[in-house]
Amino acid sequence: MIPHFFGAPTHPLFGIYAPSRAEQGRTGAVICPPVGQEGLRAHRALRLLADQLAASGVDVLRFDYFGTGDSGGDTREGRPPVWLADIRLAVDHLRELAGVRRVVLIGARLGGLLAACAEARGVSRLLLWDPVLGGDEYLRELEAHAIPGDDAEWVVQGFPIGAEMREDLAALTVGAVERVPPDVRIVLSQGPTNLAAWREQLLQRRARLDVLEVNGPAAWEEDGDFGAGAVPTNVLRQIVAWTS
Amino acid sequence: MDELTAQFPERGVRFGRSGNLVGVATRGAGTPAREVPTAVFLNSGIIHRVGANRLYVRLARALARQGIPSFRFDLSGIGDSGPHQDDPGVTRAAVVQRDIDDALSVLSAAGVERFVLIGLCSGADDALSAMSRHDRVVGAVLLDPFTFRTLGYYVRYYAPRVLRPGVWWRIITGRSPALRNFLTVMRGRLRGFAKPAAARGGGGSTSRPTRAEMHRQLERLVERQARLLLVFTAGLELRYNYRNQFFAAFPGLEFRDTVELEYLAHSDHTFSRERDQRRLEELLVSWYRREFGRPQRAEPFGAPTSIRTAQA
Repeated sequence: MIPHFFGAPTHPLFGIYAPSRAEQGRTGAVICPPVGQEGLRAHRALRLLADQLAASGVDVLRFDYFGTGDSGGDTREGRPPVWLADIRLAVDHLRELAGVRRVVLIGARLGGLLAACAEARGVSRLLLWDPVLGGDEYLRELEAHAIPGDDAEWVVQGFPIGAEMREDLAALTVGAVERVPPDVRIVLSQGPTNLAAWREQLLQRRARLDVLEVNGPAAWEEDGDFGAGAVPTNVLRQIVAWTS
Repeated sequence: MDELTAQFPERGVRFGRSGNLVGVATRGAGTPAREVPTAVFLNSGIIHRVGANRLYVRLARALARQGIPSFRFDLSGIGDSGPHQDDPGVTRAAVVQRDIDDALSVLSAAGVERFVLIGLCSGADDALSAMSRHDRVVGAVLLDPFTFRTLGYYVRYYAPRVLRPGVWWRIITGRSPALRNFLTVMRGRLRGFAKPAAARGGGGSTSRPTRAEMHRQLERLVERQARLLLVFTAGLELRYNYRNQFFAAFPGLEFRDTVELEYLAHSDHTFSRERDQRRLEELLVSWYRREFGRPQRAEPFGAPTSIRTAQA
Protein backbone atom coordinates (compact mmCIF):
# COMPACT_ATOMS: atom_id res chain seq x y z
CA MET A 1 0.00 0.00 0.00
CA ILE A 2 1.63 3.23 -1.15
CA PRO A 3 0.17 6.57 -0.05
CA HIS A 4 1.17 9.37 -2.41
CA PHE A 5 0.11 12.52 -4.22
CA PHE A 6 -0.28 12.74 -7.99
CA GLY A 7 -1.51 15.20 -10.59
CA ALA A 8 -0.34 18.77 -11.12
CA PRO A 9 1.41 20.63 -8.28
CA THR A 10 -1.45 23.15 -8.35
CA HIS A 11 -4.02 20.37 -8.28
CA PRO A 12 -2.64 17.61 -6.06
CA LEU A 13 -4.70 14.47 -5.61
CA PHE A 14 -4.09 12.00 -2.81
CA GLY A 15 -4.13 8.33 -3.69
CA ILE A 16 -3.31 4.99 -2.16
CA TYR A 17 -1.97 2.45 -4.57
CA ALA A 18 -2.41 -1.18 -3.58
CA PRO A 19 -0.48 -3.39 -6.03
CA SER A 20 -1.86 -6.82 -6.79
CA ARG A 21 -0.60 -9.47 -4.41
CA ALA A 22 -1.29 -12.28 -6.87
CA GLU A 23 0.81 -13.34 -9.86
CA GLN A 24 -1.94 -13.04 -12.42
CA GLY A 25 -2.83 -9.36 -11.84
CA ARG A 26 -3.55 -7.83 -15.23
CA THR A 27 -6.65 -5.88 -14.16
CA GLY A 28 -6.62 -2.47 -12.57
CA ALA A 29 -9.38 -0.86 -10.55
CA VAL A 30 -9.91 2.78 -9.62
CA ILE A 31 -12.25 3.32 -6.69
CA CYS A 32 -14.43 6.44 -6.84
CA PRO A 33 -15.66 7.20 -3.32
CA PRO A 34 -18.83 8.97 -2.20
CA VAL A 35 -18.39 12.61 -1.11
CA GLY A 36 -19.12 14.65 2.00
CA GLN A 37 -20.06 12.83 5.17
CA GLU A 38 -20.87 9.70 3.12
CA GLY A 39 -17.29 9.69 1.84
CA LEU A 40 -15.85 9.91 5.37
CA ARG A 41 -18.06 7.11 6.64
CA ALA A 42 -17.44 4.80 3.67
CA HIS A 43 -13.68 5.18 3.96
CA ARG A 44 -13.08 2.06 6.01
CA ALA A 45 -15.26 -0.19 3.80
CA LEU A 46 -13.50 1.08 0.66
CA ARG A 47 -10.12 0.51 2.27
CA LEU A 48 -11.04 -3.11 2.96
CA LEU A 49 -12.43 -3.44 -0.56
CA ALA A 50 -9.10 -2.26 -2.01
CA ASP A 51 -7.24 -4.70 0.21
CA GLN A 52 -9.41 -7.63 -0.88
CA LEU A 53 -9.13 -6.66 -4.54
CA ALA A 54 -5.33 -6.51 -4.30
CA ALA A 55 -5.31 -9.94 -2.65
CA SER A 56 -7.39 -11.30 -5.53
CA GLY A 57 -4.99 -10.07 -8.22
CA VAL A 58 -6.20 -6.54 -9.00
CA ASP A 59 -3.99 -3.43 -8.95
CA VAL A 60 -6.03 -0.84 -7.10
CA LEU A 61 -5.94 2.92 -6.80
CA ARG A 62 -8.12 4.63 -4.22
CA PHE A 63 -8.06 8.39 -4.39
CA ASP A 64 -9.70 11.56 -3.06
CA TYR A 65 -11.26 14.04 -5.49
CA PHE A 66 -9.94 17.61 -5.38
CA GLY A 67 -11.36 19.46 -2.35
CA THR A 68 -12.08 16.20 -0.53
CA GLY A 69 -10.17 13.97 1.88
CA ASP A 70 -6.40 14.44 1.80
CA SER A 71 -6.35 15.92 -1.71
CA GLY A 72 -5.55 19.56 -2.34
CA GLY A 73 -8.14 22.27 -2.37
CA ASP A 74 -10.62 23.84 -0.04
CA THR A 75 -13.85 21.88 0.39
CA ARG A 76 -15.70 24.56 -1.62
CA GLU A 77 -13.36 24.08 -4.59
CA GLY A 78 -14.43 20.48 -5.08
CA ARG A 79 -17.25 20.29 -7.64
CA PRO A 80 -18.53 17.64 -10.08
CA PRO A 81 -16.86 18.90 -13.30
CA VAL A 82 -13.53 18.92 -11.45
CA TRP A 83 -14.19 15.46 -10.01
CA LEU A 84 -14.97 13.99 -13.45
CA ALA A 85 -11.59 15.23 -14.70
CA ASP A 86 -9.99 13.81 -11.53
CA ILE A 87 -11.39 10.35 -12.32
CA ARG A 88 -9.91 10.49 -15.84
CA LEU A 89 -6.58 11.52 -14.35
CA ALA A 90 -6.73 8.70 -11.77
CA VAL A 91 -7.37 6.11 -14.50
CA ASP A 92 -4.36 7.34 -16.50
CA HIS A 93 -2.26 7.42 -13.31
CA LEU A 94 -3.13 3.80 -12.42
CA ARG A 95 -2.33 2.68 -15.94
CA GLU A 96 1.06 4.34 -15.61
CA LEU A 97 1.72 2.94 -12.12
CA ALA A 98 0.61 -0.64 -12.73
CA GLY A 99 1.07 -1.04 -16.46
CA VAL A 100 -2.42 -2.50 -16.75
CA ARG A 101 -4.43 -2.21 -19.95
CA ARG A 102 -7.80 -3.22 -18.54
CA VAL A 103 -9.26 -0.84 -15.94
CA VAL A 104 -12.50 -1.24 -14.00
CA LEU A 105 -14.06 1.85 -12.43
CA ILE A 106 -15.73 1.09 -9.10
CA GLY A 107 -17.97 3.82 -7.74
CA ALA A 108 -20.05 4.01 -4.58
CA ARG A 109 -23.06 6.33 -4.18
CA LEU A 110 -22.23 9.69 -5.87
CA GLY A 111 -18.93 8.10 -6.87
CA GLY A 112 -21.00 5.66 -8.93
CA LEU A 113 -22.74 8.40 -10.87
CA LEU A 114 -19.44 10.25 -11.33
CA ALA A 115 -17.79 7.05 -12.61
CA ALA A 116 -20.64 6.57 -15.10
CA CYS A 117 -20.34 10.17 -16.33
CA ALA A 118 -16.52 10.40 -16.42
CA GLU A 119 -16.02 9.07 -19.98
CA ALA A 120 -12.54 7.92 -18.97
CA ARG A 121 -10.46 6.36 -21.75
CA GLY A 122 -9.94 2.61 -21.83
CA VAL A 123 -12.29 1.65 -19.02
CA SER A 124 -13.70 -1.78 -19.78
CA ARG A 125 -16.26 -2.04 -17.02
CA LEU A 126 -18.22 0.04 -14.54
CA LEU A 127 -19.04 -1.52 -11.20
CA LEU A 128 -21.45 0.71 -9.33
CA TRP A 129 -22.35 0.15 -5.69
CA ASP A 130 -25.77 1.61 -4.85
CA PRO A 131 -25.05 4.49 -7.22
CA VAL A 132 -26.86 7.79 -7.03
CA LEU A 133 -29.01 7.61 -10.17
CA GLY A 134 -29.21 11.34 -10.87
CA GLY A 135 -27.81 14.58 -9.50
CA ASP A 136 -31.32 16.01 -9.05
CA GLU A 137 -32.35 13.04 -6.91
CA TYR A 138 -29.16 13.40 -4.86
CA LEU A 139 -29.88 17.09 -4.30
CA ARG A 140 -33.25 16.21 -2.81
CA GLU A 141 -31.52 13.81 -0.42
CA LEU A 142 -29.03 16.51 0.57
CA GLU A 143 -31.77 19.08 1.08
CA ALA A 144 -33.50 16.79 3.57
CA HIS A 145 -30.40 16.98 5.79
CA ALA A 146 -29.42 20.59 5.06
CA ILE A 147 -29.31 23.44 7.54
CA PRO A 148 -28.81 27.03 6.37
CA GLY A 149 -25.24 28.29 6.27
CA ASP A 150 -23.68 31.59 5.17
CA ASP A 151 -24.39 33.14 1.72
CA ALA A 152 -27.32 30.88 0.76
CA GLU A 153 -25.12 27.87 1.36
CA TRP A 154 -26.52 24.62 2.67
CA VAL A 155 -24.57 22.84 5.36
CA VAL A 156 -25.13 19.11 5.01
CA GLN A 157 -23.74 17.13 7.92
CA GLY A 158 -20.77 19.45 8.26
CA PHE A 159 -20.06 19.99 4.55
CA PRO A 160 -20.95 23.17 2.61
CA ILE A 161 -23.11 22.89 -0.52
CA GLY A 162 -23.14 26.24 -2.34
CA ALA A 163 -25.36 27.45 -5.16
CA GLU A 164 -22.78 26.56 -7.86
CA MET A 165 -22.39 23.08 -6.46
CA ARG A 166 -26.16 22.63 -6.55
CA GLU A 167 -26.22 23.69 -10.22
CA ASP A 168 -23.44 21.26 -11.06
CA LEU A 169 -25.17 18.42 -9.25
CA ALA A 170 -28.50 19.13 -10.94
CA ALA A 171 -26.78 18.79 -14.33
CA LEU A 172 -25.13 15.48 -13.47
CA THR A 173 -26.91 12.68 -15.33
CA VAL A 174 -25.88 9.67 -17.34
CA GLY A 175 -28.23 10.96 -20.06
CA ALA A 176 -25.81 13.81 -20.72
CA VAL A 177 -22.76 11.67 -21.55
CA GLU A 178 -21.86 10.39 -25.02
CA ARG A 179 -20.33 7.05 -24.12
CA VAL A 180 -20.14 4.61 -21.26
CA PRO A 181 -18.07 1.43 -20.97
CA PRO A 182 -19.72 -1.60 -22.64
CA ASP A 183 -20.11 -3.59 -19.41
CA VAL A 184 -22.00 -1.96 -16.52
CA ARG A 185 -22.72 -3.84 -13.33
CA ILE A 186 -24.73 -2.49 -10.43
CA VAL A 187 -24.71 -3.92 -6.91
CA LEU A 188 -27.76 -2.95 -4.86
CA SER A 189 -27.45 -3.48 -1.12
CA GLN A 190 -30.39 -1.39 0.08
CA GLY A 191 -33.26 -3.22 -1.57
CA PRO A 192 -34.78 -3.05 -5.07
CA THR A 193 -34.36 0.14 -7.09
CA ASN A 194 -36.07 1.08 -10.33
CA LEU A 195 -33.30 1.05 -12.94
CA ALA A 196 -35.54 1.11 -16.05
CA ALA A 197 -34.47 4.63 -17.09
CA TRP A 198 -30.81 3.78 -16.61
CA ARG A 199 -31.13 0.54 -18.53
CA GLU A 200 -32.65 2.50 -21.43
CA GLN A 201 -29.90 5.15 -21.34
CA LEU A 202 -27.22 2.46 -21.29
CA LEU A 203 -28.82 0.52 -24.14
CA GLN A 204 -28.79 3.67 -26.26
CA ARG A 205 -25.05 3.84 -25.59
CA ARG A 206 -24.56 0.16 -26.46
CA ALA A 207 -23.81 -0.89 -22.91
CA ARG A 208 -25.14 -3.96 -21.15
CA LEU A 209 -26.43 -3.70 -17.59
CA ASP A 210 -26.27 -6.51 -15.04
CA VAL A 211 -27.78 -6.02 -11.61
CA LEU A 212 -27.21 -7.97 -8.42
CA GLU A 213 -29.02 -7.49 -5.13
CA VAL A 214 -26.96 -8.33 -2.03
CA ASN A 215 -28.41 -7.02 1.20
CA GLY A 216 -26.00 -5.46 3.66
CA PRO A 217 -25.64 -2.44 5.92
CA ALA A 218 -24.92 0.87 4.17
CA ALA A 219 -21.21 1.66 4.36
CA TRP A 220 -21.93 5.40 4.01
CA GLU A 221 -24.34 5.67 6.94
CA GLU A 222 -23.14 6.14 10.50
CA ASP A 223 -22.73 2.83 12.30
CA GLY A 224 -23.56 3.64 15.92
CA ASP A 225 -22.22 7.01 17.10
CA PHE A 226 -18.68 6.72 15.79
CA GLY A 227 -18.61 8.82 12.63
CA ALA A 228 -17.77 5.83 10.44
CA GLY A 229 -19.90 3.43 8.46
CA ALA A 230 -20.42 -0.30 8.59
CA VAL A 231 -18.37 -2.80 6.59
CA PRO A 232 -20.77 -5.04 4.64
CA THR A 233 -18.46 -8.00 4.03
CA ASN A 234 -20.91 -9.91 1.82
CA VAL A 235 -21.29 -6.90 -0.51
CA LEU A 236 -17.51 -6.43 -0.69
CA ARG A 237 -17.07 -10.10 -1.52
CA GLN A 238 -19.50 -9.76 -4.44
CA ILE A 239 -17.79 -6.63 -5.77
CA VAL A 240 -14.42 -8.42 -5.65
CA ALA A 241 -15.86 -11.42 -7.49
CA TRP A 242 -17.33 -9.18 -10.18
CA THR A 243 -14.14 -7.14 -10.62
CA SER A 244 -11.42 -9.75 -10.86
CA MET B 1 7.35 7.25 -6.07
CA ASP B 2 9.48 9.80 -4.18
CA GLU B 3 10.47 11.52 -7.41
CA LEU B 4 6.82 11.70 -8.39
CA THR B 5 5.72 13.24 -5.11
CA ALA B 6 8.58 15.61 -4.28
CA GLN B 7 6.82 18.48 -6.04
CA PHE B 8 3.90 18.52 -3.59
CA PRO B 9 3.66 20.38 -0.27
CA GLU B 10 2.23 17.27 1.36
CA ARG B 11 3.50 13.75 1.35
CA GLY B 12 2.05 10.33 2.08
CA VAL B 13 4.11 8.38 4.59
CA ARG B 14 4.06 4.75 5.59
CA PHE B 15 5.82 4.05 8.87
CA GLY B 16 5.71 2.30 12.24
CA ARG B 17 7.60 -0.65 13.68
CA SER B 18 5.29 -3.00 11.74
CA GLY B 19 5.05 -0.71 8.73
CA ASN B 20 1.29 -0.66 9.25
CA LEU B 21 0.76 3.06 9.87
CA VAL B 22 -0.16 5.68 7.25
CA GLY B 23 0.08 9.43 7.56
CA VAL B 24 0.31 12.65 5.61
CA ALA B 25 3.09 15.13 6.35
CA THR B 26 2.34 18.76 5.55
CA ARG B 27 5.30 21.04 4.97
CA GLY B 28 5.29 24.43 6.64
CA ALA B 29 5.83 27.30 4.21
CA GLY B 30 9.55 26.74 3.68
CA THR B 31 10.51 26.64 7.34
CA PRO B 32 13.00 24.04 8.56
CA ALA B 33 11.10 21.71 10.87
CA ARG B 34 13.35 22.26 13.89
CA GLU B 35 12.50 25.94 14.27
CA VAL B 36 8.91 25.49 15.28
CA PRO B 37 7.21 22.48 16.90
CA THR B 38 5.56 20.16 14.42
CA ALA B 39 1.84 19.67 15.01
CA VAL B 40 0.75 16.04 15.19
CA PHE B 41 -2.97 15.33 14.77
CA LEU B 42 -4.51 12.32 16.52
CA ASN B 43 -7.65 10.49 15.34
CA SER B 44 -10.93 11.38 16.97
CA GLY B 45 -12.70 8.07 17.54
CA ILE B 46 -12.50 6.00 14.36
CA ILE B 47 -12.71 8.92 11.92
CA HIS B 48 -9.64 8.77 9.67
CA ARG B 49 -6.88 11.36 9.66
CA VAL B 50 -8.73 14.02 7.64
CA GLY B 51 -10.80 14.61 10.78
CA ALA B 52 -14.50 15.15 11.34
CA ASN B 53 -15.86 17.28 8.47
CA ARG B 54 -12.27 17.37 7.11
CA LEU B 55 -11.35 19.61 10.04
CA TYR B 56 -7.78 18.34 10.49
CA VAL B 57 -6.95 18.98 6.83
CA ARG B 58 -8.17 22.55 7.16
CA LEU B 59 -6.23 23.14 10.39
CA ALA B 60 -3.06 21.53 9.03
CA ARG B 61 -3.10 23.78 5.96
CA ALA B 62 -3.87 26.87 8.04
CA LEU B 63 -0.78 26.08 10.12
CA ALA B 64 1.27 25.42 6.97
CA ARG B 65 0.44 28.91 5.65
CA GLN B 66 2.05 30.24 8.84
CA GLY B 67 5.17 28.14 8.26
CA ILE B 68 4.17 25.43 10.73
CA PRO B 69 4.62 21.80 9.60
CA SER B 70 2.25 19.06 10.68
CA PHE B 71 1.62 15.36 10.50
CA ARG B 72 -1.77 13.65 10.35
CA PHE B 73 -1.81 9.90 10.74
CA ASP B 74 -4.08 6.97 11.44
CA LEU B 75 -3.67 4.86 14.56
CA SER B 76 -3.53 1.06 14.12
CA GLY B 77 -6.77 -0.32 12.69
CA ILE B 78 -8.19 3.12 11.85
CA GLY B 79 -8.42 4.72 8.40
CA ASP B 80 -5.63 3.47 6.16
CA SER B 81 -3.48 2.01 8.92
CA GLY B 82 -3.48 -1.75 9.25
CA PRO B 83 -4.08 -3.60 12.50
CA HIS B 84 -1.24 -3.79 15.02
CA GLN B 85 0.86 -6.93 15.16
CA ASP B 86 1.16 -7.08 18.93
CA ASP B 87 0.19 -9.75 21.37
CA PRO B 88 -3.64 -9.88 21.51
CA GLY B 89 -3.42 -9.16 25.25
CA VAL B 90 -2.03 -5.67 24.68
CA THR B 91 -4.62 -3.02 25.59
CA ARG B 92 -5.94 -0.56 23.03
CA ALA B 93 -4.57 2.30 25.15
CA ALA B 94 -1.08 0.76 24.97
CA VAL B 95 -1.36 0.31 21.18
CA VAL B 96 -2.42 3.95 20.77
CA GLN B 97 0.52 5.21 22.82
CA ARG B 98 2.93 2.96 20.92
CA ASP B 99 1.59 4.30 17.60
CA ILE B 100 2.08 7.87 18.82
CA ASP B 101 5.65 6.94 19.85
CA ASP B 102 6.22 5.62 16.31
CA ALA B 103 4.89 8.84 14.77
CA LEU B 104 7.17 10.97 16.95
CA SER B 105 10.08 8.67 16.10
CA VAL B 106 9.63 8.98 12.32
CA LEU B 107 9.43 12.75 12.68
CA SER B 108 12.48 12.81 14.98
CA ALA B 109 14.41 10.82 12.38
CA ALA B 110 13.52 13.58 9.90
CA GLY B 111 15.00 16.21 12.24
CA VAL B 112 11.96 17.35 14.23
CA GLU B 113 12.87 18.21 17.82
CA ARG B 114 9.64 19.45 19.37
CA PHE B 115 5.98 18.52 18.96
CA VAL B 116 2.51 19.84 19.65
CA LEU B 117 -0.22 17.20 19.80
CA ILE B 118 -3.69 18.13 18.57
CA GLY B 119 -6.80 16.03 19.05
CA LEU B 120 -10.57 16.17 19.18
CA CYS B 121 -12.48 14.05 21.72
CA SER B 122 -10.60 10.75 22.18
CA GLY B 123 -7.72 12.33 20.24
CA ALA B 124 -7.47 14.97 22.98
CA ASP B 125 -7.40 12.28 25.68
CA ASP B 126 -4.68 10.38 23.82
CA ALA B 127 -2.72 13.61 23.38
CA LEU B 128 -2.75 14.33 27.11
CA SER B 129 -1.57 10.79 27.93
CA ALA B 130 1.25 10.96 25.36
CA MET B 131 2.26 14.45 26.43
CA SER B 132 2.78 13.31 29.99
CA ARG B 133 5.28 10.69 28.74
CA HIS B 134 7.28 12.82 26.29
CA ASP B 135 9.09 15.96 27.37
CA ARG B 136 9.67 16.86 23.71
CA VAL B 137 5.93 17.34 23.38
CA VAL B 138 5.96 20.99 24.35
CA GLY B 139 2.28 21.71 23.84
CA ALA B 140 -1.13 20.29 23.09
CA VAL B 141 -4.40 21.50 21.67
CA LEU B 142 -7.22 19.58 23.30
CA LEU B 143 -10.61 19.92 21.60
CA ASP B 144 -13.47 18.75 23.81
CA PRO B 145 -11.25 16.53 25.97
CA PHE B 146 -12.62 14.29 28.68
CA THR B 147 -13.00 16.13 31.94
CA PHE B 148 -14.85 15.87 35.23
CA ARG B 149 -18.19 17.27 36.26
CA THR B 150 -18.18 19.79 39.11
CA LEU B 151 -20.69 21.25 41.55
CA GLY B 152 -21.02 24.21 39.17
CA TYR B 153 -21.87 21.82 36.35
CA TYR B 154 -24.63 20.12 38.34
CA VAL B 155 -26.10 23.46 39.47
CA ARG B 156 -26.28 24.67 35.86
CA TYR B 157 -27.65 21.37 34.67
CA TYR B 158 -30.32 20.80 37.30
CA ALA B 159 -31.37 24.37 38.24
CA PRO B 160 -33.47 25.00 35.11
CA ARG B 161 -34.96 21.53 35.36
CA VAL B 162 -36.16 21.68 38.98
CA LEU B 163 -38.31 24.67 38.08
CA ARG B 164 -40.33 22.61 35.60
CA PRO B 165 -43.41 21.02 37.24
CA GLY B 166 -43.40 18.12 34.77
CA VAL B 167 -40.00 17.00 36.02
CA TRP B 168 -41.27 16.62 39.61
CA TRP B 169 -44.33 14.74 38.41
CA ARG B 170 -42.12 12.25 36.53
CA ILE B 171 -39.91 11.76 39.61
CA ILE B 172 -42.93 11.16 41.88
CA THR B 173 -44.42 8.69 39.44
CA GLY B 174 -41.05 6.96 38.89
CA ARG B 175 -40.93 7.83 35.16
CA SER B 176 -37.99 10.20 35.26
CA PRO B 177 -35.14 9.11 32.95
CA ALA B 178 -32.73 11.29 34.94
CA LEU B 179 -33.67 9.54 38.18
CA ARG B 180 -33.31 6.13 36.54
CA ASN B 181 -29.88 7.10 35.16
CA PHE B 182 -28.81 8.41 38.57
CA LEU B 183 -29.86 5.18 40.30
CA THR B 184 -28.11 3.08 37.63
CA VAL B 185 -24.89 5.07 38.02
CA MET B 186 -25.01 4.86 41.82
CA ARG B 187 -25.64 1.10 41.72
CA GLY B 188 -22.70 0.71 39.31
CA ARG B 189 -20.47 2.76 41.56
CA LEU B 190 -21.40 0.76 44.64
CA ARG B 191 -20.56 -2.46 42.79
CA GLY B 192 -17.37 -0.89 41.46
CA PHE B 193 -16.11 0.06 44.90
CA ALA B 194 -16.33 -3.59 45.93
CA LYS B 195 -13.84 -4.57 43.17
CA PRO B 196 -10.08 -4.29 43.21
CA ALA B 197 -8.73 -1.00 41.74
CA ALA B 198 -7.30 -2.70 38.63
CA ALA B 199 -10.70 -4.09 37.71
CA ARG B 200 -12.24 -0.60 37.88
CA GLY B 201 -9.94 0.66 35.15
CA GLY B 202 -7.55 3.58 35.43
CA GLY B 203 -4.64 1.18 35.70
CA GLY B 204 -3.50 1.63 32.10
CA SER B 205 -6.36 -0.31 30.52
CA THR B 206 -8.19 2.84 29.41
CA SER B 207 -7.09 6.18 28.00
CA ARG B 208 -9.39 7.99 30.47
CA PRO B 209 -7.59 8.68 33.72
CA THR B 210 -9.06 9.01 37.19
CA ARG B 211 -9.30 12.54 38.57
CA ALA B 212 -6.19 11.96 40.72
CA GLU B 213 -4.22 10.64 37.72
CA MET B 214 -5.29 13.54 35.53
CA HIS B 215 -4.36 15.95 38.34
CA ARG B 216 -0.86 14.45 38.48
CA GLN B 217 -0.52 14.56 34.66
CA LEU B 218 -1.50 18.22 34.57
CA GLU B 219 0.67 19.10 37.56
CA ARG B 220 3.70 17.66 35.79
CA LEU B 221 2.89 19.55 32.59
CA VAL B 222 2.63 22.80 34.52
CA GLU B 223 5.96 22.09 36.22
CA ARG B 224 7.73 21.69 32.90
CA GLN B 225 5.95 24.73 31.44
CA ALA B 226 4.24 22.78 28.63
CA ARG B 227 1.59 24.84 26.85
CA LEU B 228 -2.05 23.81 26.57
CA LEU B 229 -4.87 25.23 24.49
CA LEU B 230 -8.19 23.79 25.63
CA VAL B 231 -11.29 24.34 23.53
CA PHE B 232 -14.66 23.19 24.82
CA THR B 233 -17.88 23.34 22.82
CA ALA B 234 -21.56 23.30 23.64
CA GLY B 235 -21.62 19.93 21.90
CA LEU B 236 -20.25 18.45 25.11
CA GLU B 237 -23.02 19.92 27.25
CA LEU B 238 -23.84 16.64 28.98
CA ARG B 239 -20.33 16.71 30.43
CA TYR B 240 -19.20 20.34 30.26
CA ASN B 241 -21.53 23.31 30.52
CA TYR B 242 -19.67 26.44 31.59
CA ARG B 243 -16.45 28.15 30.65
CA ASN B 244 -14.28 27.53 33.70
CA GLN B 245 -15.47 24.03 34.58
CA PHE B 246 -12.07 22.58 33.71
CA PHE B 247 -10.28 24.82 36.21
CA ALA B 248 -12.95 24.11 38.84
CA ALA B 249 -12.42 20.36 38.37
CA PHE B 250 -8.82 20.75 39.60
CA PRO B 251 -9.14 23.29 42.42
CA GLY B 252 -5.73 22.56 43.93
CA LEU B 253 -3.81 23.18 40.69
CA GLU B 254 -2.21 26.51 39.91
CA PHE B 255 -2.08 26.58 36.09
CA ARG B 256 -0.41 30.01 35.94
CA ASP B 257 0.00 31.00 32.28
CA THR B 258 0.42 27.50 30.86
CA VAL B 259 -3.23 26.93 29.94
CA GLU B 260 -5.48 28.91 27.64
CA LEU B 261 -9.12 27.93 27.59
CA GLU B 262 -11.89 28.84 25.14
CA TYR B 263 -15.51 27.89 25.50
CA LEU B 264 -17.42 28.02 22.22
CA ALA B 265 -20.98 28.18 23.47
CA HIS B 266 -22.51 27.97 19.99
CA SER B 267 -20.35 25.32 18.38
CA ASP B 268 -21.22 21.65 18.10
CA HIS B 269 -18.75 18.91 19.00
CA THR B 270 -17.35 18.47 15.46
CA PHE B 271 -17.25 22.18 14.51
CA SER B 272 -19.57 21.44 11.62
CA ARG B 273 -20.39 25.07 10.79
CA GLU B 274 -18.07 27.29 8.78
CA ARG B 275 -18.03 30.05 11.41
CA ASP B 276 -16.95 27.58 14.12
CA GLN B 277 -14.23 26.08 11.92
CA ARG B 278 -12.98 29.57 11.10
CA ARG B 279 -13.00 30.53 14.81
CA LEU B 280 -11.07 27.40 15.74
CA GLU B 281 -8.56 28.01 12.96
CA GLU B 282 -7.97 31.55 14.25
CA LEU B 283 -7.62 30.34 17.85
CA LEU B 284 -5.13 27.66 16.86
CA VAL B 285 -2.95 29.83 14.65
CA SER B 286 -2.84 32.76 17.08
CA TRP B 287 -2.09 30.46 20.06
CA TYR B 288 0.68 28.71 18.12
CA ARG B 289 2.29 31.99 17.11
CA ARG B 290 2.00 33.42 20.62
CA GLU B 291 3.47 30.36 22.30
CA PHE B 292 6.12 29.31 19.81
CA GLY B 293 6.86 32.43 17.85
CA ARG B 294 6.80 33.06 14.13
CA PRO B 295 9.00 30.93 11.94
CA GLN B 296 12.00 32.95 10.84
CA ARG B 297 11.90 32.28 7.12
CA ALA B 298 8.85 32.01 4.93
CA GLU B 299 9.17 30.49 1.50
CA PRO B 300 6.38 29.40 -0.80
CA PHE B 301 4.26 26.59 0.60
CA GLY B 302 5.51 23.60 -1.31
CA ALA B 303 9.20 23.07 -0.63
CA PRO B 304 10.11 19.39 -0.36
CA THR B 305 9.97 17.70 3.02
CA SER B 306 12.74 15.52 4.38
CA ILE B 307 10.34 12.75 5.33
CA ARG B 308 10.68 9.91 2.88
CA THR B 309 7.77 7.89 1.60
CA ALA B 310 8.22 4.30 2.67
CA GLN B 311 7.02 1.85 0.10
CA ALA B 312 5.35 -1.48 0.60
